[in-house]
Amino acid sequence: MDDLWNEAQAQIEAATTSAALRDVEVAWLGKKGRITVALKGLGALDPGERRERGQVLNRLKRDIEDALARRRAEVSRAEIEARVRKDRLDPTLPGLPVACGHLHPLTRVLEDVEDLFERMGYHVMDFYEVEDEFHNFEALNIPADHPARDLQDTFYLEDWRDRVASAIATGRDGLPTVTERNALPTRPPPALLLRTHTSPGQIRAMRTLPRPFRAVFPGRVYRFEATDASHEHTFHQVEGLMIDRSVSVANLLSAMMTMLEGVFGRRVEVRLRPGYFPFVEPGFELDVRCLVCGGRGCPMCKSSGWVEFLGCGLVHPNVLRAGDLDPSEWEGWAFGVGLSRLALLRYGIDDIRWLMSADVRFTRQF
Amino acid sequence: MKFTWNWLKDFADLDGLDPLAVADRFTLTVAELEGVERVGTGLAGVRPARIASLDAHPSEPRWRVVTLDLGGREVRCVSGAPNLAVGAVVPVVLPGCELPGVGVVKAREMRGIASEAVVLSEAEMGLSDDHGGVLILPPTTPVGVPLPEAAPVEDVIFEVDNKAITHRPDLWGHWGIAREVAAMTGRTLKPLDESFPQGTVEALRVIVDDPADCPRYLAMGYAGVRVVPSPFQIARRLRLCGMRPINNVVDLTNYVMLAVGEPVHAFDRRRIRGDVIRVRRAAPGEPFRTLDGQDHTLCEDDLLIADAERGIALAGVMGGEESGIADDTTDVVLECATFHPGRIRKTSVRHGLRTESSARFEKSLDPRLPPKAMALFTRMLAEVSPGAAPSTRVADVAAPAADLPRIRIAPATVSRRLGVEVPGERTAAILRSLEFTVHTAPDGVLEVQVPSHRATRDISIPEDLIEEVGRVVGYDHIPPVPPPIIEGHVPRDPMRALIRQVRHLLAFAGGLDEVMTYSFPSEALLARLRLDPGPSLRLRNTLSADHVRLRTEIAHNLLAALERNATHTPAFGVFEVGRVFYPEPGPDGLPRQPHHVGVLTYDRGASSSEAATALFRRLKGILLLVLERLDLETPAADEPAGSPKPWAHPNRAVTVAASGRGVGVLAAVHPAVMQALDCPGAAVIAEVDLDAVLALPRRTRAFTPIPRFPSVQADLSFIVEEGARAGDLVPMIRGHAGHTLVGVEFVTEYRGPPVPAGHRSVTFRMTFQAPDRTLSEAEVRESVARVVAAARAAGVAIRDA
Repeated sequence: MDDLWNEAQAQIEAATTSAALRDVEVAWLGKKGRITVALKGLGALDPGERRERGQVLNRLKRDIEDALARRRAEVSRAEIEARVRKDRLDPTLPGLPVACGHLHPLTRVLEDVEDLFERMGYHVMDFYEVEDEFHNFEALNIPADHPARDLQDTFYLEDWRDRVASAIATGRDGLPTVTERNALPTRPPPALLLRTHTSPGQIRAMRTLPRPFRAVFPGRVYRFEATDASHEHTFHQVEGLMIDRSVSVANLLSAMMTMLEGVFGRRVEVRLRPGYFPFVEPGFELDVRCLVCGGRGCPMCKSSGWVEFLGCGLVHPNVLRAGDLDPSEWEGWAFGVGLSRLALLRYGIDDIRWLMSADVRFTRQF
Repeated sequence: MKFTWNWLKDFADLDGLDPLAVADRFTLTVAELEGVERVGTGLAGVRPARIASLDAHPSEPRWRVVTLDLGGREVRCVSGAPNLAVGAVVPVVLPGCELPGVGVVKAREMRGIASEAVVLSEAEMGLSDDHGGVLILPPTTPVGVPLPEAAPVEDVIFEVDNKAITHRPDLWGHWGIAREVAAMTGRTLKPLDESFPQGTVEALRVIVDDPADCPRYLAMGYAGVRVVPSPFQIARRLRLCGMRPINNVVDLTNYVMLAVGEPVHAFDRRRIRGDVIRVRRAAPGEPFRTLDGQDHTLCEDDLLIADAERGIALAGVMGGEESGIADDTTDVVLECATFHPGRIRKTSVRHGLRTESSARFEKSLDPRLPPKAMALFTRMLAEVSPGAAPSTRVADVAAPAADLPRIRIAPATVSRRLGVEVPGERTAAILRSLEFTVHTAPDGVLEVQVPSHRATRDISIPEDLIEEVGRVVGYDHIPPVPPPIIEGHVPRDPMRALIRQVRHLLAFAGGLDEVMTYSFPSEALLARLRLDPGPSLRLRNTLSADHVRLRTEIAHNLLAALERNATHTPAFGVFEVGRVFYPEPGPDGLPRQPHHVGVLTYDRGASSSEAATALFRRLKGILLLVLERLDLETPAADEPAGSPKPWAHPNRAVTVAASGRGVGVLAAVHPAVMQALDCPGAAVIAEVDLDAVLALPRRTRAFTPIPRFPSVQADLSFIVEEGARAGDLVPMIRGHAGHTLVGVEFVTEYRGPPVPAGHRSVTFRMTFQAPDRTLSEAEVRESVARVVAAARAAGVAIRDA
């Protein structure tokens, strides 16, 4: 019996492939296998011998099965390893393309700024682009004879109600030609315009939000001026406003530093200078220590070491009143920063007109 | 605007201060300086010399041989300068001396004559860009000593950003700047003498029609004037400030303006008919020629300085050509006035005349300033034209002066609002240094009277005073202090959240690129494509004839983007989120201006109908995915658009809807439009009104147990006509397949044998599943058979069945 075991064991160990191992299994344990045949032959033996030999054969069968399983694992492992050894990949081949679009660089900057302010507890709001003179000028303490209200700075709209009336009256569509329209500078401008800044949102926010509050309102603004590499008649700003019981220049400075830290991802040195904006008093220009040269002087900062970054100040009492707030009860600060400029700075875009170019080759870079 | 350090020293004691340090402080305290420049440095090697004699050059007629007296020593040189005269004192540089920008000067022989010195122009010394002749120094200049000791050639020029001082009428002259510098350095401002001698003859008659147009008008006559070039000092200061010297009288008016900030105007008295000056509005259409030779047609909003017959100056903007100072003028009338700022600005804008004068008057000048200007002019006239003196008494027409504003402010308020402690005495001292009058009330409150030079527009409320104190204390001394915490969280603006979701889904799930375009459609494109944007808001003032209306849909701009991008990119998909504008009432009394999202996909290779369909279906897929991810209910884009857009293919245009409500369109671009754009292939556009989307109900997602028993799928192909709507089969399938049907999806469509011509085969895959058991084949067969029977009953043939 030991001979049988030794023989089986030798065959199992000699098999080096799964196929050879299967042959060994068939030869011993298959329907016509030697163990199977031997087990079938037990019937011819007498009962005592049958039991004794049966036990031996069954043990042998289990041993062979165990040996086969062990060897099968070894062989299969060796086979996989052999296959792996031969299996090669050229790692320099590119990944398969996945169709993925791109957000506009302005959107990327905008979302960063929105997220930043949201984390700081600001409302992020969206206001109208077609505004009225009250919200764009009067309410912001920009008096009627302020230069900013001249036609050369502001896109004014024809009043559509007049147009409808004149169409009804004349029986034609009543629309003046471009030349006719531009030849009418002495007519008092109608009440509607394209907002020249995001500041009208200050009034709308003051009138709608529960106080105290902090809010930012980003968006598209318009200026009636010719475009070139650094000027656009359509660009983006974000306005910020805080209203509380007591608000100081020191608070404004702190908030601006926190914001700039978020925008630039690091602490930046800032300074306040007097700046004139009719809707704040006192008003400031905020300069940032030049991020290119660190203040040593370079073309970016025109050798001054500082880059003018935003306008801000304490909200003028007339503006609070226009926002239905009592200046003896409420105070505030406000700031406005150019998102377009931020995008140009961040991505090193050399011409502002790319932003509105709708060129896919531009968007795909971001 | 430019200021010189030496000129500032006329008005304030600034000895010992470093001009560059003052310049830095000025930017932080008053207004941004655009530039600071030292001029006239490095001229120690230059010496004044008197021209002793001038002789002709033997061989070169354009040159002269100059003998120069250097104070006990004579040198000879050759010069071609046109303005040499015996007795004149001129700067010279001797060989071996260094000149900035030139280097060490050498002796030269100039056609046979040794030139032992060089006489210098202002440009050669780097003093200005004037190289018209040699610089003529005052005749009293000591000769032979280094030039910087003999004449004030060294100076520092500050350039202030004009935009930074639009609110400060007091800063448009050296006197006002000197006041600021004195206040911030603790120095003393010298008082400005207001008194001046008058003539004895009766004053000119001055009539001011409307005091609102002209709150103050002073006029005085002068006689004995001789019009000659200005002396060195005046010409030099004008040049340093960027003005061109003309003659002593005109230069003096400019000098007075730059000195005290008040534009004054000198008339030739011979040209003032009737010896009367009337400040009146122009008649409609009244012609006027300004001294630059331009003709203007005035309107009744223009303010005119007139004599008995006609206009002699466009008030506050520019004098008339006819009444100006001429070479033979001997009698002069000087005007010192203030005008309505808005009127001056409008006139200067209307006639395109932006002058030094109008720039100042439009800022609201102090009506107490004109006498100061007249005093300075009168005093200096005798210097620039010896013998000239006032001939008439002064005419002074003044509207009653407004009371100077008084403001009460508590020192504690100043400290609280600045966020830094400023003692009451310091606040009072700062305000006094800026010439405010300050009284401290018994309760400590400061009672402040605003000085007239700050009272016209600039300062009227306590906040204005806080700014004055803050900027002199120095904003760099204010420590940042975090604002108070506001309790609670802020709700997210639903529109901004929606816009962000849409952008991200279109870019990162749809694979599209975001663009931004103007809010104005191109009129040229609309005309070329014969597209009517419908009722639109229109601009009253336009930058170009191409931008006249506000956009009513983003699609028009996307067509423009298609044309531009197709020239370099064969296939792309772009989208824009932005507002569109309608001439109809919306919220808050403004025109309705909802947010839209517009999408355009383009494939130059999509020339076949099948490829165009694929492009259409791809965008439909993206669109429905977006609507589904927005949790809208039953998003769909199956129904033909009721009135397709003019740019749309009429048979490839559907309404985009959710909850059964249309929110937008999805349509192929009409082949005629594609042809007009010269874009081969196909393009598809979708435009959805996000304001409408925001108003739709959103579904809440709820968990469905994952089925434990396997599902069975069965495909069924229906033969339908080419024009039929395959999607309509889905409800039929659902209606007859029984309750074990859990899904129906479109698999494919097929044209060609054995499908009859004019027909196509449309294959749907049905999925059957039961929550409690494995379905038997027989059960599924039975369900499918019911669908087949229903289809046949409805006249739809089944393929392979």
